[in-house]
Amino acid sequence: MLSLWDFGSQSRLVRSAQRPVRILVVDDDQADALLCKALLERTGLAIEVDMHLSGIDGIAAAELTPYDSVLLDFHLPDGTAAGFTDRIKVAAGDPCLPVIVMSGRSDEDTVLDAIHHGAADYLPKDRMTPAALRRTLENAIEKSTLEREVTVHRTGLIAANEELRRQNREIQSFYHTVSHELKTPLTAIREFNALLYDGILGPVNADQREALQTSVQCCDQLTRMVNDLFDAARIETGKVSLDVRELDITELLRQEVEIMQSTARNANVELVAKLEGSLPALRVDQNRIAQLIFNLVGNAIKFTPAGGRVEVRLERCPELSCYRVSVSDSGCGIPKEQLHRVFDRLYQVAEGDETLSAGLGVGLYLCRQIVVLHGGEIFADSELGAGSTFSFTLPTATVAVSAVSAQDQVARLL
Amino acid sequence: MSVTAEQLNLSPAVAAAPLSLLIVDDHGPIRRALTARCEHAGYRVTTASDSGTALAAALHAAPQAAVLDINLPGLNGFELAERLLALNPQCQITFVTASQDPQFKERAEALGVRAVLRKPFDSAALLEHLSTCFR
Repeated sequence: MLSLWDFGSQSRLVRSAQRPVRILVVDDDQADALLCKALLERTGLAIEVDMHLSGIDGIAAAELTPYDSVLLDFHLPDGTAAGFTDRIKVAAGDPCLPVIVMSGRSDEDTVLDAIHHGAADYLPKDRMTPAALRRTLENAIEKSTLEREVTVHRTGLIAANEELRRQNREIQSFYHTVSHELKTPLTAIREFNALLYDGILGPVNADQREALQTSVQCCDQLTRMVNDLFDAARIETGKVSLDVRELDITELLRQEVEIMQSTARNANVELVAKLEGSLPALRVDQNRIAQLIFNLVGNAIKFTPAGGRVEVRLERCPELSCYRVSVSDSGCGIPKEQLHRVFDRLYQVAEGDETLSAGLGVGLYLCRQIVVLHGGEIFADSELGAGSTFSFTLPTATVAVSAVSAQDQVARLL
Repeated sequence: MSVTAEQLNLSPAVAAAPLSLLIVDDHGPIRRALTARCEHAGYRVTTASDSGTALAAALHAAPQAAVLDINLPGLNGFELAERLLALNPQCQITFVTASQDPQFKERAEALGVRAVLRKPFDSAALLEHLSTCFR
């Protein structure tokens, strides 16, 4: 088994021997320094050695020359290696510069202190041989080279992350602007239609009223699409959280089904609700659950031919730990091979069927995200030609309020 | 679908003496539509497309209620609301906005305004809210 620094028969130091390895030796004992230089010259490496007798001189040298490694005596007249290691790196402008501390055997405890202060390794002077020096140098330089690479990659990743964050903010801002700019004229269109429908701008006959009603409904549909698009963008940047309150889920479902009745009637689809009553209140985000039901029931109606049936059920799971809501339709169904993709962002029904192409492909994606935010699960079952059932669970345990950012509460309609 | 003023059971005060309502929105069609809606509901409506004009109009019309867009040229809706409340602390403010900025609701609440309607809104909700302000 290879050790961490075992890179094969030739180290990076030897492989990249286009230039000599520059070593700075700092030792106040000139004899030790000369011995060290002599040993270095016997390592078989192409080496250039500079020698200095004090820590301060070593720092000054490191400032001027880009060394590959520094051999630093632990005890110097002006301090210890523990203090000089970091100062030499700072002077060299290289936090990865490998500083190897040399010491007598009795200094091992204090040498450990130098290691804590950033020394790459240490060599006991009485065991210094050309082979030991070469091995220690190769390991230290290899390690520092890797550290530099990691630093470069890390810096690159930090910059890439920052760039992604900036782009995310830009996308958010763009969606925000689009949403705002689309809704402003939409508000006027909807209100003028409503004024006409209500007869405030003059009398209208039954056919005109029906046309105006459809027009207002289309405005509302467009509004939901804009909201869905905006929500999908916010969800992707993790900006959607829940505004949970205790709620009678049966009543909420009853209201939502009631709201959808006119859409069902227009499509000549029977919409029925089978809701288990007297259930304990649930802590959920009312707007989000309403959005979820609206999307699921809206889809069910859309994909059910005239004369068909959509059924919304609410029941307690057998183990009582959750409620299960299911929306079943007698529509065209979904091919098995597509079933696992229906909750994917931008999933659309098979191309080519113009009658079913309305929608942005974010509705079911949003449904799944809303359920997940509530700690539940969402499922799709279907048989081609025999209809589909979309169901989701909501755990009865309280949704963690800590997940809710007060700042993120969406301004709500009164 | 919207409901008419008659369906809203407006307070006798509204019925007896028309309440003065200030509508501020920089989008002309929205101003016109809201004016038609609110005048039909019995309010005496003054409109403005920016905060400066709105403040001048408020000095003249002394509105008892104001429907304010938030993104306005010059002073924004919150700053305008502060000035209007300084002129008349009893003025009932309602914000309408096409923005989904989650901080808007908090900023409105800081001014003591609970009503933030998201555009496009059902005008029945707006009229219902305005009428509850005076019940």
